Amino acid sequence: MSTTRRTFIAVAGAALSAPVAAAAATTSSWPPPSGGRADSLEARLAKLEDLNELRALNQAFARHVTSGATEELAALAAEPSGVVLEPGVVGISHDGVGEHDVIEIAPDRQTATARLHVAVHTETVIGPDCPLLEMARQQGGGVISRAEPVVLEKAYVRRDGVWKILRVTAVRA
Amino acid sequence: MSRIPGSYPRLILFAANEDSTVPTRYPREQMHRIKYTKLTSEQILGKLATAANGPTSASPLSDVFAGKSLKIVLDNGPTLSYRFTDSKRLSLTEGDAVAVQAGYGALTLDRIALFSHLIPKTQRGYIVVVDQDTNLATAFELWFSGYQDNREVQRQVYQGYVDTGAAAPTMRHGITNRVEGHGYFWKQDSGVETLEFYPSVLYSNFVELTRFGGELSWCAPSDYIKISDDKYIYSRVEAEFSGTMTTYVLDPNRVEQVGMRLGFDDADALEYSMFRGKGEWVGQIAQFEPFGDLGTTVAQGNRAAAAAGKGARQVYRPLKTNPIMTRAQVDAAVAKNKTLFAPNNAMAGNRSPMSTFLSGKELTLRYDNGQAFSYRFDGAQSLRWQRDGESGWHEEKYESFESAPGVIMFGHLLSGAKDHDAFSIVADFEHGLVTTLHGTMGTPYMGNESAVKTMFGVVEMKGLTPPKYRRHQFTDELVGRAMSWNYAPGTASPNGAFAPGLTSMHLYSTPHSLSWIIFLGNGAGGLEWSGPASYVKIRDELYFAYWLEEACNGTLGTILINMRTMRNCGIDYGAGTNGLRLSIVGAHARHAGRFNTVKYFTPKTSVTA
Repeated sequence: MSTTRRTFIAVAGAALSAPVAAAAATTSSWPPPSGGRADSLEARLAKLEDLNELRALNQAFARHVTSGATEELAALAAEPSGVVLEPGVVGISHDGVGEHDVIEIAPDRQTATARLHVAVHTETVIGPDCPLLEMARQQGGGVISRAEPVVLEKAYVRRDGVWKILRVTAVRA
Repeated sequence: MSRIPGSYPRLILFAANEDSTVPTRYPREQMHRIKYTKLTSEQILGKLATAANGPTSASPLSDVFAGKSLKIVLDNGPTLSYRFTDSKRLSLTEGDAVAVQAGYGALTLDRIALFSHLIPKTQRGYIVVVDQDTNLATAFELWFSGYQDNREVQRQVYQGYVDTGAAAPTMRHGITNRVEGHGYFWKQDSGVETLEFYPSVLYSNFVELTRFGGELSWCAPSDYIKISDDKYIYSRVEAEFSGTMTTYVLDPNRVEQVGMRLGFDDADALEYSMFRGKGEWVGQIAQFEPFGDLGTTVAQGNRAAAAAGKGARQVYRPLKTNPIMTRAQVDAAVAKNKTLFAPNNAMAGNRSPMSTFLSGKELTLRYDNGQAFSYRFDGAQSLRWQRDGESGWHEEKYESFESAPGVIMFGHLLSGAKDHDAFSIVADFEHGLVTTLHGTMGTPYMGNESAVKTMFGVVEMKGLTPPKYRRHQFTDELVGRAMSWNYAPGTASPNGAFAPGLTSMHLYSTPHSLSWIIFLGNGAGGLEWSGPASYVKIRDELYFAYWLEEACNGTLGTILINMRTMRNCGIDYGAGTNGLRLSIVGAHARHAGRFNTVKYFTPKTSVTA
């Protein structure tokens, strides 16, 4: 990854290109800070359910990127037709056990943001073609593999009651 | 573990007859040049009719199964129920199908029994290997007409066990890298002698010492299956050639084998035979997998063409991606484009520095074949040359490298030559000696295939008196060696992972051939191929080698191997639809071991009464 910030999933539409930071500014952190007003049990349950759904969404995202399942990946996005994976990205693995990850859900539970520590796996095709590379490619080689720790800044939106990914930006860790 | 009911005779060793040596005979065409008939499915079915009676064998077949029944349960495969009438006839029920009668042959190696049969009126059959101590079994289902070249034997390998009525075992035979790097000389009971090398987990090299005269090695997709620490199954199919399958059980300690061969030779005659062989261990070359990686899976990369369907495997089919061109097509392509020493080159990431040694010099290279070429080196990358007797000069672009002090490798085109000629030259200015590989484009087989001639001679220049008699010479000092070649620096990831740059391994398999092996992602050997080659000794630990990628992409590779600095410099020469190219090669080396095989390439003396 040559730049410090790049769009990992691009989604068409100007409204979707707003910086993640702006969306995060409108949110409250979860769990609530100590000393704050305690939510009702029903509200806390709802947020926990949201949290679980978002975590499952993140895991599915990583799994589909790694397996190259583009259709399944598109189904996770708010605008499936706008999903474009950055060239060379072949996998995502989560870094550690998520102790540094943060997911924030807006009070109205219609939007959310996350900062996830992951390793992005990339492959750069070696070129130009030569006989050796031809053989290497046939068996899945002929590339330079690299794994880079990044923070994925994700924005989510609830569509028809289901959390969808609005945008994903990779920031060099 | 329970045993198969009944008792089995111990192995009776085949005693190789030392007097049965046959004189070396050379084929009219080497294997990669033979135009094997594209047999139809109907032709194959007809030729297999006699095979229903079972395989032939020079050694007595075993009666290990005679009078017994075996029920072999295979993971993800059929259950095979066998009744062995005697040592030659069996009946087979595949799953719930109707039983069929067939001839078969069995041989044993210690407690391992291998038997094979075809199914009458079909193009199918089986090889089954049973470990009588563990009751574990490996079955190869075989069939013809499963690929566009019908004669190429296809196989699906199943693991399983002999159902004795006891609880099913949890262990299985399985794929392995535990014999990767092994090399053997084999002499079979039929008198056939081979050298066989296993530098890969997907492929193997074989040298047909008797069938094809032992000049070249060839490569074949191969299976390696572990039975136990000292018993393995090896199987290859001569894909892109005759399509013949050779499968055997191997004992590395005793260097013994029992096996089966099935296929059609260059005259389309069926060979279906069992064999027993004894051999010699010729050495072990290096493995590059991480320690602890036992090769129970094959590390295909993310981009590998997904193997799908029964019998699918990785097979390198070079002419599929490098179609044959006519001479006229090559001429037209070359007229459009010549790429000389392009800087963006995947095989030059570790190139040697450009030398300025020749810049400003004038000299003549005088060869023993009567040719002489005079040179004026106008700069580090521009020269003029003149053939003896010519009055004018030809201007060319060139590249040069100083591999060792006073030893310069340089190369250039001979513009205007009718065969798009090029020279790759090694000149030793301390000894006044030169060796030139004269490459030309086009052979009787392919317009886009290089040919080469080696010229020995001397350097004539002011202040240098060359020797009268001494010359560089062909050498067998590299034969049997394996060396890895890394063509570009690797890349480290912040998480500590390290990805090597483009890397391959050479196996200098015979005095006249070279194999190249492409590593899988975990460092295991993967696809490989082989071509004619030769090796010239320039100085101690300094060798000038070429190889021709014949019946392939047609490239002539020339490298100067320096085993003191452990790097090479070189020039590739080739042509294709994109025109002609001369390109720089440069790589770092590691020793990868050696097979002690030189003695097998000494021409035999035919003794007649």
